[in-house]
Amino acid sequence: MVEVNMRNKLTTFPILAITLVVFLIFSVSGCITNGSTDDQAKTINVTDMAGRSVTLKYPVESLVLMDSTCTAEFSSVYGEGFDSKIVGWDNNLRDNSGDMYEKYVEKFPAMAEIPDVGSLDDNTFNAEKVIALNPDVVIMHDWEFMWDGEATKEALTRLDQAGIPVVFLDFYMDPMTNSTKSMQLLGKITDKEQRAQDIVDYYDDKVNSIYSRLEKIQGKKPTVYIECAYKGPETYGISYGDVAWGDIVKKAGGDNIAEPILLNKSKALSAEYLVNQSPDIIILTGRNWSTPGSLRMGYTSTPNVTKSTMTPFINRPGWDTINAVENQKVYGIYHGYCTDIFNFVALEAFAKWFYPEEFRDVDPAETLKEYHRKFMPIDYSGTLVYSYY
Amino acid sequence: MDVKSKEAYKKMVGRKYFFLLSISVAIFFTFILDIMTGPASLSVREVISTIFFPAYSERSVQVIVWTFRLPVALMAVVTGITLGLAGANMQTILDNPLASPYTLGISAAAGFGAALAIVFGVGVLPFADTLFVPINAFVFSLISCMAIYGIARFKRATSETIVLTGIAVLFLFDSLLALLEYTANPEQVQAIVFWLFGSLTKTTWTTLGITVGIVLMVIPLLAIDVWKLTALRLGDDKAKSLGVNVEKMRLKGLILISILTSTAVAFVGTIGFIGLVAPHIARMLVGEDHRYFLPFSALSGAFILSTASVLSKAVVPGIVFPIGILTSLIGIPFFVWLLLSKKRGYW
Repeated sequence: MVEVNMRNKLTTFPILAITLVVFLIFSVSGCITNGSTDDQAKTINVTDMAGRSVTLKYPVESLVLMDSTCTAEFSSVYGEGFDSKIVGWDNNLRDNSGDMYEKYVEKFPAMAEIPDVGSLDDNTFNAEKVIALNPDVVIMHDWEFMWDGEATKEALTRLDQAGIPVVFLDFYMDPMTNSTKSMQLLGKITDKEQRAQDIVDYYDDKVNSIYSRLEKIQGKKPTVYIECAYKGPETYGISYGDVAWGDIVKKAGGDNIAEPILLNKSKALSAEYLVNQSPDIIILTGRNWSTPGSLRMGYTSTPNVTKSTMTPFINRPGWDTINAVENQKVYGIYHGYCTDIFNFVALEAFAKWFYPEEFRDVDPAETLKEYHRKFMPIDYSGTLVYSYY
Repeated sequence: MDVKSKEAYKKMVGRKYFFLLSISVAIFFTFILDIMTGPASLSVREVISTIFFPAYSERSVQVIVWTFRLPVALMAVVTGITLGLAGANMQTILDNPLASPYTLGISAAAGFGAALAIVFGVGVLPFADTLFVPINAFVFSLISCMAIYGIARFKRATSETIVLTGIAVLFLFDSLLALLEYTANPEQVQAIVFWLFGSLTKTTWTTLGITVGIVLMVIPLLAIDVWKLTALRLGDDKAKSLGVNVEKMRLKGLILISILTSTAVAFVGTIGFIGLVAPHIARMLVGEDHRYFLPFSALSGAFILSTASVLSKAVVPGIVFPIGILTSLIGIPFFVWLLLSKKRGYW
């Protein structure tokens, strides 16, 4: 721990010095040009996804991403040159989405050097470091309030004291409504509104086509169980009430068995409840978690790896009596999707799994490829949407 | 011996047997209730017929009764017995009313072992994934016991030395655990915390079998010593004058306790409180004679844990509620009521 503090000090001084020098140069050059234009930096006022009114420098040139997995959204909105704009982030991308991290670093090696500012989830958040990096804005997510309310409030106070604005996005609490708004907000503050709008149009186009078809479908909704398969097969991972994945299941026309008992929380269900409910469809979410036995999915996973890590889940006691297993309707989806812009692909995949006949022509993997081609700096690869049978 | 005192003794023994019988009946009922409760609403007839004629019921009902409910209900009883016995034995050999598997840091050591497995080790041993956490917990609780044992051997095994060593061990492992939690990522911390809360839901027939086997092995070893243990309660000097080798008794007790506690803790996590309170309940109701005190303490433990198991399913049906949170919540009122209703000190 001492070492870390030393490192901070060592980086803080040069950065402070550099900022000071830069500031001097600017003020001097400002004097030389006789205050002709830009001595007053432009500002913009926005209302963020947490309903806070924030004033920031316009356009923002440097960001700290409190959730580094947000790189996917930021890079697609910003396009060319996004990598040099991220001046700090947490380790979420590296530790939990290692596959995506690799893809980015492969293409933009400098990203490996982006400093880690700690995370609010485990109290490692280092406000001092953020202040030293002096970003134009710090990007946070609404779920921070739910998971780490205290730490978040404290971080806000400290950043506020340092005059560093914080903008909240939301891809989790109300994913199907707030994702596009969050993209527009990102576009607005970085002066990339057109690109953001292109993404939003694409997104809306996709989801609306799903919604309009769902409206026409009559009859009983399939019952669905969705679990974050990060604990391995022995322990039931969390399932979702009416948030995140649960919300997407509902919007895709599924009847989420966790909702009546979880309401709007995320908790693990008991095995007995699941077997007794015997849902029509089971969806397990996978990623590159470090936990052994967890479901492996992502940019660097092959279908074989996903299959072999999913088999033990299907062999859990009692699962052979569940409708979903008997009727061979067990699926996997990349876990990053409930917290990012790709949730429209999840919606597509779910709708297709729930109503295979009506959505025969929909191909989520194809949609993903297209999105990557159009908006993402990295290429599509790996296993992001998976059907076990 | 006059008739009167014989009569009085008979009456006293009769009362003890009555208590033992009552608590056994109570456990039987909580056990049945435990098999009956769960998110799947099964009728009494369904459950009974599935227990006795599994072949005639639906597969899913079979799974629910045989895979999910029976092992858990039985594990609640067996773990309760284990913790009750460990606590009773501990308080006796340490001559200390506050002694419990917690006091000696055995639970803390087990928690640290489990956390170590969760943070670093799991996956290192590809073959023992399911048992890796419990084995690690077991090993570490044994290590802590051996450390206490070693120090006790090195000095004379007085109860003060052992208790103080235990407390030192407790703080050591607690801070090591905190250190682990500090370095772990949020998911791992959550897994550790959940493990520390204790949970019966992961019980399988295998882990149940192992626990039962170990308990059955330890009970006769304890039963041999009931008179010596009773003598020990008179104090070291009196016990010595009655020919009890006090130090040997202590060390033997320590080993048995560590085996019992490690087993219980390894499979269900650190369920606190039972090891401390079950012996007190037993002492208040049937007194110090270890022929009654040990079984009653074991049965009180079983009763508390079985009740907690029923309640843990009733809190929010369909969600796993950590049982360790409930044991003290339901045990405390009963314990306090007993304390207040006692006219004199009983320790």
